[in-house]
Amino acid sequence: MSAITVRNLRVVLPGSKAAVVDGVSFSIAAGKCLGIVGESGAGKTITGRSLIGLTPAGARVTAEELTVAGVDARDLTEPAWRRLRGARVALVSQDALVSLDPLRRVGAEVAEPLAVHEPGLGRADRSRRVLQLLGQVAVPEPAFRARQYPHELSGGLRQRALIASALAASPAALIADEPTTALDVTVQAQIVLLLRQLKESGIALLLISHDLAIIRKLADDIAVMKDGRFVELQPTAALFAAPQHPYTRELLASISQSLVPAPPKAAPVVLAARDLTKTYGPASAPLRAVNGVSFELRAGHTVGIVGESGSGKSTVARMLLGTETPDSGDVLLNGEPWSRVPESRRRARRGGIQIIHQDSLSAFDPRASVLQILSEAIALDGSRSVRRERREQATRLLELVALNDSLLGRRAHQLSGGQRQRVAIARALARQPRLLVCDEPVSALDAPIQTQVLGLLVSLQQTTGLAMVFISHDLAAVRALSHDILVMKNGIVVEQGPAVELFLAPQHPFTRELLAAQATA
Amino acid sequence: MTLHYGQVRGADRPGARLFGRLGGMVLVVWGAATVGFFALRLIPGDPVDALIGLGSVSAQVRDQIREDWGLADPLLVQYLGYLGRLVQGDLGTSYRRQQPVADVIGQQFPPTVQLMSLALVFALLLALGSALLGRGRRTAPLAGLLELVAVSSPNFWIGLVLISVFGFGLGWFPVVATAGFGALILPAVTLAIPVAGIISQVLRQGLDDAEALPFVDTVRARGASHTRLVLRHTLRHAAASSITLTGYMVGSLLGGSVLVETVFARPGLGRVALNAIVDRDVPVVLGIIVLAAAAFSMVNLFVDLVFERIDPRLATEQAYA
Amino acid sequence: MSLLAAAPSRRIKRMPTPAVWAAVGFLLLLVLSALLPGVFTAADPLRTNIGEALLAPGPGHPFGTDQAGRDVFARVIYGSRYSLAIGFGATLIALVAGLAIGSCAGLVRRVGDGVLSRAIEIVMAFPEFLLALIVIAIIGPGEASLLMAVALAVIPSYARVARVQTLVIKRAGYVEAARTLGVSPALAVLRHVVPNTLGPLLVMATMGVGTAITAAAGLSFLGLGPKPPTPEWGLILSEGRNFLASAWWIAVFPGLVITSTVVSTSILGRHLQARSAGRQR
Repeated sequence: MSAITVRNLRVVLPGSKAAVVDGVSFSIAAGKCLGIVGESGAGKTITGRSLIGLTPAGARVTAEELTVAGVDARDLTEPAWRRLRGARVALVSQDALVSLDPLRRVGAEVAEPLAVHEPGLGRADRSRRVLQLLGQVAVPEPAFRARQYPHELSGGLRQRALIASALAASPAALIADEPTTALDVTVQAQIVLLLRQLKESGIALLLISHDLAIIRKLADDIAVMKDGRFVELQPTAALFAAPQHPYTRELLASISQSLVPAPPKAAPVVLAARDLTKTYGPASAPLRAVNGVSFELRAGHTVGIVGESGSGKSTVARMLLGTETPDSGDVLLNGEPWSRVPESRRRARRGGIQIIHQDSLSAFDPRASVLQILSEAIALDGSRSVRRERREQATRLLELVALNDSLLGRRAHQLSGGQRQRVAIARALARQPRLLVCDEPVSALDAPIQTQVLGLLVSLQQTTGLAMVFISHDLAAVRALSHDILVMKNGIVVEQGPAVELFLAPQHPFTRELLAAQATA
Repeated sequence: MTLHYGQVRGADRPGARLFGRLGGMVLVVWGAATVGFFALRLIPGDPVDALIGLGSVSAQVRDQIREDWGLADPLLVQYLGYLGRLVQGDLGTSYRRQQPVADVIGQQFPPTVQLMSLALVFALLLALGSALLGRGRRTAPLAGLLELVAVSSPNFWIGLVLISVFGFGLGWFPVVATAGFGALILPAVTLAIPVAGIISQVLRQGLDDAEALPFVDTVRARGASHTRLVLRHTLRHAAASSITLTGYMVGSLLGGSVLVETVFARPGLGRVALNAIVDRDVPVVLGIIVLAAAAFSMVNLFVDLVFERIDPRLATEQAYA
Repeated sequence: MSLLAAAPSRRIKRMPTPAVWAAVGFLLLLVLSALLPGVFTAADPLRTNIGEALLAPGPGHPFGTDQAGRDVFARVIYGSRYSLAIGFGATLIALVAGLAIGSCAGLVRRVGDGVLSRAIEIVMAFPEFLLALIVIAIIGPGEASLLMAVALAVIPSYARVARVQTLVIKRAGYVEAARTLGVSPALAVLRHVVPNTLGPLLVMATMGVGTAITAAAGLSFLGLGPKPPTPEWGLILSEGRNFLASAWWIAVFPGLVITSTVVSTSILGRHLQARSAGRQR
């Protein structure tokens, strides 16, 4: 028997004529998992929310069949939906830090479905059930954790607590919407394991993610969604073996592609980091953010730094840029001292080293147009160019990053994520740098856009001989670009070497764990 | 960012933090007393004129008065003397009333506190009602308009309108009376209306903001009703944002009481302040400055403590800040 | 991402609504009445006529007459001159001074910021109205004192906002970006920090004009501003207070005009705020 059956689902949002979900059909049996993959805006989240009656206010949801845990869920009233939600079908969303009420204790949050659906349950029984649930999702010391607030738990524990809360009223089906997205890769693997156990215990799981690698590990069937439609729905193995739709092939390609160009031989050393160390906090309880990082980078080469959040990789980036001074060790730029000279002396040489951030929206003055953003950088070469020349130069820069000069009048918030990142690259190029530091440059972008931006960086490297430091938590992205790789954990480089060797024969257990967690194709 | 967890310092333990705040309080009161002391010396004219009122006296008597009141001493000596007495709780002697400032303020304290407390209760009730009822499709614009008018009306005008409608027009409340609970209602409502408007604005916005947070999806996905969502979850978030207004509210109640007491011809601190200013009764003005600074500091301390109870994230953040 | 979070907040409107147009229209009328009162009324605000004392609003006197037979409408129209001069003047002074003090505190770290922000904190310990009263106590009553008292009372609020805003923008990604591009600190402050600080302050000032007008009216209601028979809104209200039983109109109409003025500046200020929020989001 199917826990969820959907035939020809269609959702139209208020104020628009086009359907955001159009003609979607699937069914999920108890103990099975359907994964929906697609980029943001494809309609996957709305599809999931339709099954629990939480589409945005005013949305029109129609279907030939919409059965959730044996209940015909077409045209349910709000009170009827409420009886269903939590009790028959539950939701686990991304990042429990924001998905749990930050002002209530974990125990109260886990208990809420019980309070709603089993009001007869006594206080003592309820807290017993909460402890049981937390134990079930392998939260250690459940009694202690239940008294804490969500922000006091680690990301992994928090996500487990969120799952416990979803399970509280024993639903037959679970909708997991990007359940692992905000987590580090090693924690992701643990949550995936937990979800698999739930599935095996008989829950029907609808897994929504932009990350094909995660879906592959859990789903029995995979639906590929684009512009509100399922372009492909196949058993997992079949989809990977023989993708039918061109878009699916594009998606598959984006996770396995290596873009690394052959590096030039005998290039000069552009950047040298020697034994960089940075400590925060008081002398009594020092926190080594970075401890003894050394590497050399030659023109036309890319060094990738990979690690989880808090591993110290962004601190390394700031020290390379000279916005943070190392406690010991130093950075040489083009063979000359860089990190230990006063900022006033560095300023004239700043053009040679530029940075691309993950969040380029905040890196642009909200009041400035693209033309003004680029002009500011162009004008720094000291030449007193006239306005028209600057416009021409800005246009040329946009061409370099494959953008049209029609964007010159836009402000940063009027650009798409991919366009914004390209403008950030164009601004960096205006200073004609020899070295580009990229700190998670594509992490905020959808998979196909990620591939495009990474491709752009690689082709720029080939044409200009740019050296790059590529920092990411995403091993796949680092692998796609880097000649050499540093793996960081807790401020220390645990493994360092040419990318090819590192991937073929990882030495350190943490590297192996990373590779396993992210094993894809 | 995880890195900040490394920055725990000894002074951030709860006890030390409270001590630090008390130190800040003393600093604010001292600063206010100092600024007030020297600023009030800028008043043109001879303080002896303020002391003797309208009568005229001979030069010898003037000198004698100056001697008696310590006004002939160097400014620094006067200042240190004032601080020394302040530490012992002595606020000096009123020029006009020839009685201790502490007594002058103490006598007028109860009526103003009664007025402000009742006004605060009214304001909270009005705001809560408007925030909970004023969020529907049709009620929201109405609530928004009422808030705007409430916030924008000068409270002395509100008082006059209430007097002419409920006092003279309908005769429900005494127009001018100083005793009894009935006489307190119109002034308290007058004082409450602008404050209620502000709290209601913040509460409604806070509820809207809280309902846009991602956890609301989770709560609704558990089958919770909208009432449960508001009462158990979002109202708490909205309250947290309103609490920060407390200092502002107490200030606006205190400032407003000067006008409202004048409109309703009630006794109170506001009247004392106004008369002292008109009469240039420096010790009383200074006493009120010190009192206001102390009250403000205490309110802020209270707000910080309450805030941490409502939003546990802050307690942790501050410990690591 | 939450679906509900994606839904636009119902209170943010970027295009001017009819309410915004009405507010702008009312404020323009007010400015016009301050500049050219004769256009609105032929009556003399100071001419007494005991025979026409305490007349209810009617054809000849839209707002009625006061105890001396003066036309209340004419007094309100002529009064806009004082109120607007104080409202705009005090706000402008406070804006400029607040921006200067606040940006200095925000830019000069350590000693400068410590001293200035402590000072701001101490002054902020006082309700603005009480602060204005104290200033009056020092400089004495009168029209110019009113202006200075109101301005001085609100400077700390502007300074505080300017300081916080400067601190936030100083650390904003785009200022760091300018730095990594090689822009000098002074230029970065001039080009990015100051303009982005000014925006919120201008919004605050728009609303502040209304607050300043109310505060000034309050002070002259207490008899600390211009002397009777000057046609000033607060003063007219305080005269009307004695005739509430027989002539409600003397007090009610000027108050209505004050309230409408403050409502208008609030609507305009909120609109500007929503627009800049829309731009910066």
